[in-house]
Amino acid sequence: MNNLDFVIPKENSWEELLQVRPLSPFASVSSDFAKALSQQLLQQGQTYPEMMALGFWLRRANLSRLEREFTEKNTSDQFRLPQGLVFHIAPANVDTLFVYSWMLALLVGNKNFLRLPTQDTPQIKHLLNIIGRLFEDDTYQALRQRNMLVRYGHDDEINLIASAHCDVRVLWGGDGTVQNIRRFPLQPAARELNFVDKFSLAFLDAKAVFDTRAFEQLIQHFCNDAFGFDQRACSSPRLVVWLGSDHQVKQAQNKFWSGVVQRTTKQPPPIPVHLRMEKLITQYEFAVKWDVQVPASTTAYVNRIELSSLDKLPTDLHCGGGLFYEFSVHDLKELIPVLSKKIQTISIFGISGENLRQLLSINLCAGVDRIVPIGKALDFHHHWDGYDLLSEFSRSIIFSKGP
Amino acid sequence: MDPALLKQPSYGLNAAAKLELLLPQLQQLTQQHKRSCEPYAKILHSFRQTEVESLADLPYLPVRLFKTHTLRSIAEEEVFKILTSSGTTSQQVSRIYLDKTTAQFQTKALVAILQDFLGKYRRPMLIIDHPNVVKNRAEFSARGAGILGVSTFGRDHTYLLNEQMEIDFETLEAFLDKHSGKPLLMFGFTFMIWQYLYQSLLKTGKKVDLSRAFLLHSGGWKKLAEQAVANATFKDSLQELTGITQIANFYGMVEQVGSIFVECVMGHLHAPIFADVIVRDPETWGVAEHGELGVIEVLSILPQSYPGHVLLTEDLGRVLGEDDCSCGRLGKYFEIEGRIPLAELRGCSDTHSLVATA
Repeated sequence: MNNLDFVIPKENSWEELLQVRPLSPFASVSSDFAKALSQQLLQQGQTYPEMMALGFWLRRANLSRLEREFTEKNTSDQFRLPQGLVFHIAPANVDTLFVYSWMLALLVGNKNFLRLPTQDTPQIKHLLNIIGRLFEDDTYQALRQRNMLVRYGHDDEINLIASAHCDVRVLWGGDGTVQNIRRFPLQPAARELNFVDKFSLAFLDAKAVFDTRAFEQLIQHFCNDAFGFDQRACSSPRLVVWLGSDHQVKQAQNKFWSGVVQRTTKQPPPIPVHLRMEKLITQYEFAVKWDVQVPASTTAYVNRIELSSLDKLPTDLHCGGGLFYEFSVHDLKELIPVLSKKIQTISIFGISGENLRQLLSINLCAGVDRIVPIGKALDFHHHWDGYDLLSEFSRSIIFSKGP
Repeated sequence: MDPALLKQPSYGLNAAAKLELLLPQLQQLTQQHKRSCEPYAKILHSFRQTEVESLADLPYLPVRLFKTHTLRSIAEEEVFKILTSSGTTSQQVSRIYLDKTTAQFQTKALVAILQDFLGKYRRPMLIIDHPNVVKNRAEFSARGAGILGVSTFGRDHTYLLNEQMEIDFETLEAFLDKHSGKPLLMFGFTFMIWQYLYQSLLKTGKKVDLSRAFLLHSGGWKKLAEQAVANATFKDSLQELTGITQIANFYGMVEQVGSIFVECVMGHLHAPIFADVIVRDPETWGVAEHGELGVIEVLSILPQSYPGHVLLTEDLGRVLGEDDCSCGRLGKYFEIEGRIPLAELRGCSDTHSLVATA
């Protein structure tokens, strides 16, 4: 543990972290810290929508909701305690995600050792500044002792030690990272949560899109979902599926995409030029390898690829930055082949959630972790990729009172 | 392409005359490659074509595709030479398949361009590299191809460096003595010249007089930009140590060998009659205004054996003007501002690798 490049709080050490005991679930110091963080984010986060979203998620009302959900798990013959030490490995694609992972574990009472993303984006700098300053306040002494946010390179030794001592290892990363980190054994009773590469889609009813009176709002919601985090979050819609007749779909597509183009022309999303180039190249790669149509675009922010089949959807070729695979179906059922384990979020517009639910239940599809309205794709929820994080970060104790 | 074109003055056509020459030839190349190169045909099929009224309407290929796909419009047995990019920064290299005709066009075009700058006299030539770089004649790196291309323009080719990349002073002195009083041609890659000629001279403190030479160089400024060396610094520094005053950079790439864009005394890169340049606005991919920074597209009527006649590069630059450079050359003139910067990727969720996987 000598090669840690960056640590918050500064005076903390791994040895101390191992020795202290966890806190009770939803201890007041933890909730206060979360609220203070929320306040800071909402005051200072205006430039970054994702900071506002995080601040909003941490606000008092939502914390109470989380606490209520947690305590409701306690019944007359069952109660929950924190797991102990949680080792988080944060992802590089969503700057704010480490805070969600960390705060959920912290609120439940755990001690945390968290590896920050190696890249120091302005957003991460901003977050660490706020967190660092909060920790200076002695009110949070108990949390200072129990949390380490660290940064280190590809250091097998640190991964080995942290894995050997933690009670839960949470890995937000790609498939490659999961394989790499799995080389480091956990304690026999430790638990691992792996959030792997996922792929998400938007599913729209063509007629509903064409007819909606809230068209501008739909476009705004879609753009928020699609362009946040450079379209590199697991929940970013990268495939757009249309439901309707060929004619309806054509009409809806024209209207929808000119709306998106107009909006991005007025408010260009911060997509770097090299990424705009990557998208263009991806379109050509598709054209060479698959049977696709590439509609012309008047902006470098929106690139589309019309697929002729959903079979063997090459999810790994997607580079983000406003690239949309597109496909249309006449019937919900045609969606089934694509709903593999790889699929995380379906954000819907004009589609009946109930019908989708039935589709998944009847066909026992392997994938899909979330179904949300368009505009909510990037919202975090403590139920993520099939895990209930409040439960995963705690353990339940059953006591039987006898007959 | 009509080979007679390669005998015309390389900078003798104004915008209208040039368009009249290039547009039909480039359109014809598009059709030719569409017939003979299947991946290219698939691309044209996927991208809905618009009416071609100007050079900017011609379908372009991102130059990167030559790294990921075999793009050739000739049968395997017609392949005369394969050019590869140096590939120092990425593992993948471009592979460019030439038939005899294209190779000849390239050589002739290069000669036509360079004659405009150097006259017809074939000068004794000093190459700032080591001889091994051109050993394998069937498959050339960009460096080798560049050297051989320019070589046809000089005589008594002499390599300045040994395999340890040190200046061979004995050879150099012998070369200078032998050709004393005559104009010389020097050629090399920008970075090699800086690192192995300039820096070595600076370190050893030796003085050489190269004031009779015309130094032609290419290969990109990336490594020099890292050392904060711009074109002006490059020129001034070399002049100080060697007395050399005629220094011209040129912009070219292995994907379009031959139709290079050479820097005039004003410091502007010029498009010859068989090539052109378009700058694309990275907001829309439409044509950028003159003076606006954008992504460089290069057009050339030389590539007959591979679909490389209209290419979108990954370089940034701006068109400075057309037909009115004070050096007197007609055609567009422009400047390059280096590669599109690679802002760090968000890493497609993978915490351990920067390669996009998700």
